[in-house]
Amino acid sequence: MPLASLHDAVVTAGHFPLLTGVTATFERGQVYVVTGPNGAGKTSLLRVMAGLEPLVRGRGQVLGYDLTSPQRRDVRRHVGWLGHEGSFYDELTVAENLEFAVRSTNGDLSRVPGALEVVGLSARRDVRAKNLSAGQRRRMGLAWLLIRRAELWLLDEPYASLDDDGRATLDEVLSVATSAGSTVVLTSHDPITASVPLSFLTLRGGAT
Amino acid sequence: MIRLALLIARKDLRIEWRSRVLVWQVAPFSVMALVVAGLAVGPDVAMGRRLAPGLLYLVTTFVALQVIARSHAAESSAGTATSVITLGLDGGAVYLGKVIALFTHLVIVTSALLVTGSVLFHIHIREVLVATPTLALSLAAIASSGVLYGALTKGSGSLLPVIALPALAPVLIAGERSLTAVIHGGPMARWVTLLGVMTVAYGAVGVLLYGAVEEN
Repeated sequence: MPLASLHDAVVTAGHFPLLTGVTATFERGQVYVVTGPNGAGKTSLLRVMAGLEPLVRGRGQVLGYDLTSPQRRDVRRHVGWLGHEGSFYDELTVAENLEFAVRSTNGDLSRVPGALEVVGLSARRDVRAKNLSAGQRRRMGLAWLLIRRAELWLLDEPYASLDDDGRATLDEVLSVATSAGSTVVLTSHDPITASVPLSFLTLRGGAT
Repeated sequence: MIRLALLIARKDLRIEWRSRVLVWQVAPFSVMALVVAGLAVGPDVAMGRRLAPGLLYLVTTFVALQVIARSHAAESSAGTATSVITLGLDGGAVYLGKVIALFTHLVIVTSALLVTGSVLFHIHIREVLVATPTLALSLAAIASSGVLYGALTKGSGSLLPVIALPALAPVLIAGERSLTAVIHGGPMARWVTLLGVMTVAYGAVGVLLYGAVEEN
């Protein structure tokens, strides 16, 4: 059984169609790059796979959770999410944000320093999130993904705002994730420089 | 659930403490509003004492709406909301944590209001102390309902008062009557009972439904 699969998946926001018929299969330990023009449904696809949006038609499962039923919400505990909007409490420091996320999910606090080291934020652990640059916020999100060690990573435009050093860090993080058996699905308008094998999925008008 | 609730409460309190908005903006606004009300009442001591409970609760209610909106704002940026949802936290625990934090915020602001009110309207310190348990119960009722209405309205500055004020009216009335009973004498038990029932009822509904409300 694949880690996730969608068959003719349709998602709407009210009456507005977000996905109009996506069929795809996602295998374990692979990196999938979702491409397509603006408004093609890339972020919507990630949100469906995170259990954030219900399917209104078609079939789908992620880690065995049926995306057409309320059971889809249970998949969230197994997903690592990196949005492009920034994902943290501005008034908390880098370390406080990560420790809050770890404690609230009964995670392992000892992973925090190592993750900050990997993403190059050790020296900024006591800086409030609102004082970080966009790229540093992205790195903080990557640190959270490293700590969480989710089975499925969903990354929305992860290369945006990253400098060359940050891109190299992200590439390294992707390698760590796939070597640990995680599946990564990411959207990107940028060329992917990661050395891991990539599979591409192109969306147009909300469909494959 | 309690452990997660305390974690959420501590996080909310820390965010508010760091932003200083409660201390430097909300509390001064509430004091100024009460001072303006005091000026409108004039120097008549008896009149001031008679109107004090209503004015105190009216200002407290308006300030509570501000604090409720702020409480929700910390969670409502698109990225933060999505990230928190994907943590898969128990909605009931999140609700309880936010109620604890909101209650603490309201206690701080109301303390400033009580000091101001006691000076402006000649309320004796003994009367304030006697009224403290009832005031605390009123704030608990406001907090337990406010977090729910904050989620229902997504903290919208214009929608929140429209939805929450009718719901807070019974708290306002019961609180005002019980404080009046302390200052001027009269039956209090029924109002305290009403406040207690509202706190428990909103608390139970919040624990059960907060996750679903936030989801939709």
